[in-house]
Amino acid sequence: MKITILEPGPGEEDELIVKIKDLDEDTLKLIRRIKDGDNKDSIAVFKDDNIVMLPLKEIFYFDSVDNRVFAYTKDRTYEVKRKLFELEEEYERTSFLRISKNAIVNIRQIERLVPEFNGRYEARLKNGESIMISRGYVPMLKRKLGVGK
Amino acid sequence: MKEFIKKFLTFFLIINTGITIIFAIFAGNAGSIDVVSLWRIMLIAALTALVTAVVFSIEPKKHLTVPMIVLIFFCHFFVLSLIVYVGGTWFGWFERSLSGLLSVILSVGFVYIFTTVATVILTHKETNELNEALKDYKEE
Repeated sequence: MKITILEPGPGEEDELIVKIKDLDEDTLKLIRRIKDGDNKDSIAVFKDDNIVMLPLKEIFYFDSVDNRVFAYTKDRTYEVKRKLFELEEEYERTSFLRISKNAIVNIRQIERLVPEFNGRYEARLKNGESIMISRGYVPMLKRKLGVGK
Repeated sequence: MKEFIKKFLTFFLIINTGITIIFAIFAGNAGSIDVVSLWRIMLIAALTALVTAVVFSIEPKKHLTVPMIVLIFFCHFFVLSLIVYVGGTWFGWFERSLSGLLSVILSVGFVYIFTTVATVILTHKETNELNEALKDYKEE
């Protein structure tokens, strides 16, 4: 692989061009790491094949559907080309919490919790959507919120 | 498993209290309850609590529709009534007759309502705690 480093001309923005035939997962990870840097306030997501930096605080929840992970904001959906467990590990110290086998919610976007059948909870989100918190994950929610210490 | 045992013990305590109340009301005329009857009450309470804990451990993948909830309720009520009827007639609490069967249904109905009310109160308390903690978390 050829690597060329050029100095930008006067008034030009720093730019990284990736010229590649097959954009594989490893390369994507590398691009994502470069884009994310040390900034944990945003995440690289995909919208119509474009990479977009999405502020984490705007994300309501992550959901896994048919092995694809999506990030949901107030009114938009983006694909996140990462595994749910990777997101869970990376954002475990933030307001994100795994609430079922296929979802991670941003606690700050929960409007209120409503009890459901059999010890589950329904998280009513600020955008009017609802997402189910599985019974097995309720203890983690309590721990995160500091209930029952 | 830990959650299941916790759930079973909670139901056992509530159901045991409910059955004891029923016993105190209907068998109170006998004067006093012997120790054997207390063990029998606990046995029936344990069996019905076990069934209830199993039913309330079902975790459906989707929202349950009202007909599904009604079906679960009737199946649950039927199994509880069967346990109480078999145990109750065995222990001589109920007669093997239509009036005995009606007594079983009424008794199970009372304990069912008692348990539901107690569970709703406990759940309501926990939900309030969670929502308060959620509010505090968001304000941090």
